[in-house]
Amino acid sequence: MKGLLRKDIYLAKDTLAIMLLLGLIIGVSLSFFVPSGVFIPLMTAMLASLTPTTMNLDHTSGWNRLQATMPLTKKTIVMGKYITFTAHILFGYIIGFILCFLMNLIRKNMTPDDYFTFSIIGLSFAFFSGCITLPANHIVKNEKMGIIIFIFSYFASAVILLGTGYLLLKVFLLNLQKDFYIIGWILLAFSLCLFCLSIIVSFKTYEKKELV
Amino acid sequence: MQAIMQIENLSKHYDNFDLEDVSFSIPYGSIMGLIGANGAGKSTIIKTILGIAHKDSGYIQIFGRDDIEDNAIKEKIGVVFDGSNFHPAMTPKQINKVLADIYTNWQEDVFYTYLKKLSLPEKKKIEDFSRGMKMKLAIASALSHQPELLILDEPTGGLDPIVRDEILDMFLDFIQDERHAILVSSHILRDLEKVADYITFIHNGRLLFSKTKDELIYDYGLIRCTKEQFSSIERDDIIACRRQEYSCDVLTADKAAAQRKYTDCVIDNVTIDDIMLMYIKGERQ
Repeated sequence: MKGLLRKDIYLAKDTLAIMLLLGLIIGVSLSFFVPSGVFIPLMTAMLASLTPTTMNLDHTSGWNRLQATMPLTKKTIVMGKYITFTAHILFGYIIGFILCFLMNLIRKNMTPDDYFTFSIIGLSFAFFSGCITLPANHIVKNEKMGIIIFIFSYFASAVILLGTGYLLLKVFLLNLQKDFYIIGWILLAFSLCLFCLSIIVSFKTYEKKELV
Repeated sequence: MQAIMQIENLSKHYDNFDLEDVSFSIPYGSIMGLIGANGAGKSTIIKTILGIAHKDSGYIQIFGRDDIEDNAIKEKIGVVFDGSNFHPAMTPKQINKVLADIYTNWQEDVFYTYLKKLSLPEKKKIEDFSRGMKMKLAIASALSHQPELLILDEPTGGLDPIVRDEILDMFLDFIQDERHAILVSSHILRDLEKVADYITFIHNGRLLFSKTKDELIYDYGLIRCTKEQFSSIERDDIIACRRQEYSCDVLTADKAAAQRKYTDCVIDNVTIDDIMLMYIKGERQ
């Protein structure tokens, strides 16, 4: 496992600086028009995209094939990607949070509730997208499809997020103002549950996969 | 003779290709050359042995066990694939660290000795390596975790003769230990003629033969004859023949017997190339 994580760090290192710079430029530009909190989902999403990128690289470089011959169980290989993905999300979230905080020192347009809202949106979006992207990347065989699925996964995440929110408000009759924090925590917990369930799907998919 | 690897009735079905009932074994201390034309099924056999393609039926025993998913077995196998094996953005130094975390028996000193011996820069990215350098790095990596069995898919394809010779020397060094063995697929038959002890020939997904190289080179022969002389050759003596306008070339499994029987014909020695060509292009009896 350690070797796989180390390999993903080496691969991510190459694109990390560009990602951070890009995120910073987009975030700073956007935060003049929208609250500085935009940094949080933006950086979380950008860093989360590193994992599907490494999965594509694993495929195109032939590493996928080689690692299957190494003393690693299939479970380890699958879990390695989930750990990498979670680490990328958390790293992106922390960076986004710090940038948001720093920008807010200048703009002063964020309340504590805004920090919470943007954090929940950023993290839930990323975990929802992960539960689609990671299993799907074991199925698709080309780089383009991997990127399309990653983009699509964010659209799907928005639908899941809105759908869950709608259910909480209309079916379970929660109140947005009164139950603001409960709704947020439920959304995050739901995204984490789906993310964890997707590990089983990924494992089943990878087990059947032929690395030819 | 005890076998490090034994394959029996291995079959694998694809939509446009079938590998059927392939059986052969590799004794300890030997090099097995897997030969055949492009698309014959060599890579399918290797992928099935390694468990990265799932066999439909058959039996693959390595180190006495039919369980390639066992990490203890994988620890003892060094693998090299044709083309790329590692991420182009990585350096050999990074690969050393990654593989040290994966293989229990990884030997950093051995890896760096190979890098030095093969003139591979440790801090240069693999994307800047030539094809030969990439292959040498893959072989160095495969040899640095104390493997007992090397499995190589076309390791010398597309390389110049000097690099190929260096790689073949590495195989011969590895095989000095009698507990070791190599399975190497190649369509550069001259390379295999230099190093292989056994040859397994696959054609259109079927096994044509699995024999010792010496048996092929010393026992097989090529009868050069006229059309009239050809008609007098017994069918049992013919494996395959190629007819030209005025003459015929006949592959026979017993050169010595042919020399005694067909005194008016020229009987030539054969190379593995000749045998492969006769099997593929000739009319088989």
